[in-house]
Amino acid sequence: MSDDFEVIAEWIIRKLRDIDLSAADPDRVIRWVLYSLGVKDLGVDIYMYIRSVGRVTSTEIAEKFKISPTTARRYLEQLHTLGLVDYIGREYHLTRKNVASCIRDILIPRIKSVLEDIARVAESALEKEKEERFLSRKDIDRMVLAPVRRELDRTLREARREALKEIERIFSTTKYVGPKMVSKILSRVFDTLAESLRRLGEKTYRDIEIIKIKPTYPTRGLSIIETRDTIKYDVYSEYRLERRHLEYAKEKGKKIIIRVYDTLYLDEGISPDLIDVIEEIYVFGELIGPRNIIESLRDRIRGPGEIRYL
Amino acid sequence: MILSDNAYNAGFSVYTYLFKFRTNFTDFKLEKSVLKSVMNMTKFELIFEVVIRYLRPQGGEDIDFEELALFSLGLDDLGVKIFRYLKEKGIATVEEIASTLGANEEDVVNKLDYMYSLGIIDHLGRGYIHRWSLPEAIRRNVIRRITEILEKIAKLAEGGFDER
Repeated sequence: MSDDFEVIAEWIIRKLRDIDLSAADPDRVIRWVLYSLGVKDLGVDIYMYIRSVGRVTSTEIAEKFKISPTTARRYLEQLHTLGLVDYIGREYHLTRKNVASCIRDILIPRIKSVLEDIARVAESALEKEKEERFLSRKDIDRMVLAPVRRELDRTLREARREALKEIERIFSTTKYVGPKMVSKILSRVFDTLAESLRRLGEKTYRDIEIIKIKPTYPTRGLSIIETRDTIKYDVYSEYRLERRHLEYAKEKGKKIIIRVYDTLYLDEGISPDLIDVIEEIYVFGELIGPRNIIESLRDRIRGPGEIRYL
Repeated sequence: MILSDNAYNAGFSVYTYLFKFRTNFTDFKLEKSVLKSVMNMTKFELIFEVVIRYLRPQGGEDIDFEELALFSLGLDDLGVKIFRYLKEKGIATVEEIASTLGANEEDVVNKLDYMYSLGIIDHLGRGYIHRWSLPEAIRRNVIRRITEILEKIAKLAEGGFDER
């Protein structure tokens, strides 16, 4: 594994071939159970010893099993990581007498929580990849708009030169320039200009196709930016914040920050237990919602805007 | 990795392997302790072993979150490379992965089987498939599978140890 990461805790979980409970003695069963949880034989012996004596220090374990205090601590640490033992100061004891309840009440929730953390980390990787796929405004300007501007300048210069050349040619060959002639000149100038702009349009379209610019804000009048920890809403037109938005934030473990420049409706379906996910609402326009919800959010609502109750 | 039912044979194999490749005295002492540990190992047949790690990135702002997540799920460098190759291609065979990454086919099979058993990739015929995004696979498969294994362990402890 890369040196970029430090192991804080590690669990080894083994799926073993089943043993016959009717024939196995309790010692063999506990060895099967603890080996399934990655505990080696000496770890099992230490667990059984704590079970028999109730409370024990790492020094006593070291003396009893003729191992170094560091090794004793390593085994105790593993049992602690699995939720089988706990300690107060230097003294270790069983968290619960019942191994099954240690697994169900401590280990499974702990592993689930670690895996959920890992899923969130993996999600950050996806978000980063997505961000990398989208171009920043600066990149769009550099890669698309600047070449278009240059091309437009060049096209207009060319069209101007062509038009002046044509005017010069006409004046040098024709003595009388009437309305028909002026119209003809202007028509040719505009034709040249139109042709140049058409070519420019095609080139720009090709450039945009190549770099695949995607709109980051698909909804008009609303910007939603989701980061690792927060979801930021900028509301520029009327928008209704619904229960599902808060449920989504809660599920993802993210906080919502809202800036209201127009009107934000807090849906009546929003229940008070969900509003904890709202970190702040800056109201520059108008906030409309049920009284109980707005009152509960009072300490998180800022800005000079108007607040109305439904 | 599937261990032989006979742990003594396994211990002897480990001893032979270590003795063959290491001659340094310090290493030899270490090998003896490893051998002792293997020889004392309780005989249970291993079907599947998963490693879950709680990792902390070591400094630097440029963290590879995908690598961090995969290492946390017990994968090593080759496992990460294989996962990324599958992610890019969508589907691939063992031979294709081994020749592209310049890895041993058996090592590749072991890594793919681990990832499949964990639930982060799918397997159909000769093809290994990147079917879900990593967070989706963890939430949809990994958590469920590991919980099931732990539940089974708890149930066995209840029936054969806790009650007595």
